[in-house]
Amino acid sequence: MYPEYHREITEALLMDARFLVEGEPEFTCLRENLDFYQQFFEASFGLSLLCQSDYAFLQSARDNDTLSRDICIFLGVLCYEVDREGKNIMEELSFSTFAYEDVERLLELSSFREVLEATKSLRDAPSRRNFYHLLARRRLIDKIDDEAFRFTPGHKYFLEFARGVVQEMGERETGDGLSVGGVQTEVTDHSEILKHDPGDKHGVEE
Amino acid sequence: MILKADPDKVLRFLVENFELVRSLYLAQLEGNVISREQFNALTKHTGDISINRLFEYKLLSEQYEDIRLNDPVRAFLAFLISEFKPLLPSELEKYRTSFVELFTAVQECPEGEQPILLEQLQALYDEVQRFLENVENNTGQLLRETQHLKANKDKMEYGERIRRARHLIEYYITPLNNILDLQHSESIASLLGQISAYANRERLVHGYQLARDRFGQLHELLRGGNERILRQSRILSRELLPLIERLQTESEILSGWLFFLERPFRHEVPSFTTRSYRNFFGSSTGANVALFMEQFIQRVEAVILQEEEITAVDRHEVLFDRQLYVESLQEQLPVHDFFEWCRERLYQNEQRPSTERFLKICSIVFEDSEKYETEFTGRRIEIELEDFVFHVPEVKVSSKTKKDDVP
Repeated sequence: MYPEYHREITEALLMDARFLVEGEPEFTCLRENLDFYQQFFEASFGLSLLCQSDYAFLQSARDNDTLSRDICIFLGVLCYEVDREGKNIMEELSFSTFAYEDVERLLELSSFREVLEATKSLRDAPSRRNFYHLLARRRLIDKIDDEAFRFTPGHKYFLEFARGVVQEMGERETGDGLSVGGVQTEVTDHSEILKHDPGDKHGVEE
Repeated sequence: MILKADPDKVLRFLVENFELVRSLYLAQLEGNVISREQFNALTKHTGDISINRLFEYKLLSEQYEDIRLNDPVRAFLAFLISEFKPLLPSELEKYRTSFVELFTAVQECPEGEQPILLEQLQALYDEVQRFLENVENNTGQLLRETQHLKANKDKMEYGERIRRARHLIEYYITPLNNILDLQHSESIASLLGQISAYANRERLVHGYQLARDRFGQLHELLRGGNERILRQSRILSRELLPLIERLQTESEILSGWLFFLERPFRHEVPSFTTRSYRNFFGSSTGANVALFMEQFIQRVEAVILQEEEITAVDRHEVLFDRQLYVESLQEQLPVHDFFEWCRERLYQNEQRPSTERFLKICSIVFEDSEKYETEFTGRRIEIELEDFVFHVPEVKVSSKTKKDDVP
């Protein structure tokens, strides 16, 4: 009566609050019964199921999620650093493995260090170790071994968010020296911006 | 015209100095001309004779202060090295004019003017050939440049990379796509389609044999050309445009992060997922369910086992050794009080003396009554065992055989 992986799907999405990603039998099963599950989660728990071609998760109703913010900061800084090294962000995040050591080095030397230090779960190496564990539990990354990890397709959700930010900013500020379409990033001197806005750091929550 | 050497000698010179010629070509590709300083630097280790020959063989020509490769040589080297400057689409657009003019001339050529018709057809053939080659070179070069840009081998600044990508899209890729768009009636590709249809008809119906042959050749070229254009168009739409689009997507992502990181703690964040701790069953659910279910329980017939007369079963029962008692009786005959003797034997031989065992011992005399003689004294005595007291007569037992022996 219920799809084959019903229990696993429910546990993963609802109780573990993790991504289901392409390659998992649960994900295939979810896609095959997408209508059912959308109704199921909506009717039973009032949660909406977000399912893309290669990842799925249950969207919480909370609009100020600390974990989400931490992930955005982490990915934002990482993307910036990856690009600074002359690599392609999307390719790196989709196909490359990341050695913890390399990521740590990037973050330690990043010009966004202030932001990282103001973020509880990212402020130092031990905190970040816990953070990586958390990411793995939520299936945003797959641990390959103790040395390295790889991003799952789930990361695309956050990249889409970043794209959305640009489009939103573009719409809001068209005609103000910023053009629509994301090719307007003259804002490279972010350290300046941080100095202008010290109040940001008070916004750290749990 | 090269006066000072035969063509094969010039080619040999080119082979022997190929590295130099290549670097000159790349320098010109970069800066359109080769400046005198560049030239001096590149020919620092080249002998004077060779330098002179570069000019004598008309490989190079001087233009005021600068130096250029002669155009046929430049085209030849471009072909050899496969490194081009992508043509601006307007450079390709010029072919439209020549196609239209030649095509009109061919169509309007009066009867009986065969020689000029053949020449025009020849010119149209060459022009189409050149156009196709240029288009292929162009897409190939654009693809290389885009991949180069994507891989960012020059470690270009982010903004610069985007500007370069946009430049390629805007001025090269999109216009080239328009030129090659077979669906679009104004494109050069569809003009070539019209020419091809005309040539196809004329190669069959034209009154002049040589013209029919030429139309046939042109038709063949255009038929193949159509496929070549399709292939190029496919490269554009399947590889070039997506590559650029990805570059653009990536730039959007990065810009988005930069905007976000400007105010990371105040910017809204995407709603993510949270662990749900809701319990499907409360702590008292079990007890409640049990209570609820109780009403459905039907009382089944109880089977009660009652123990009556508990008799321990002696698992260590020793079998009654009748022979032992018979022999013992034989030895001790005559026995004055048989039952008392039985009692004594019982307690003497048996580990667990019991009434049953006592009776068995008693029975030996009565079972073999022909062997024994009994004599009742008439008195009764009490034999006390573990749980019974027997009132038995006093019996004297003696052997029958003995009496027989004594007649």
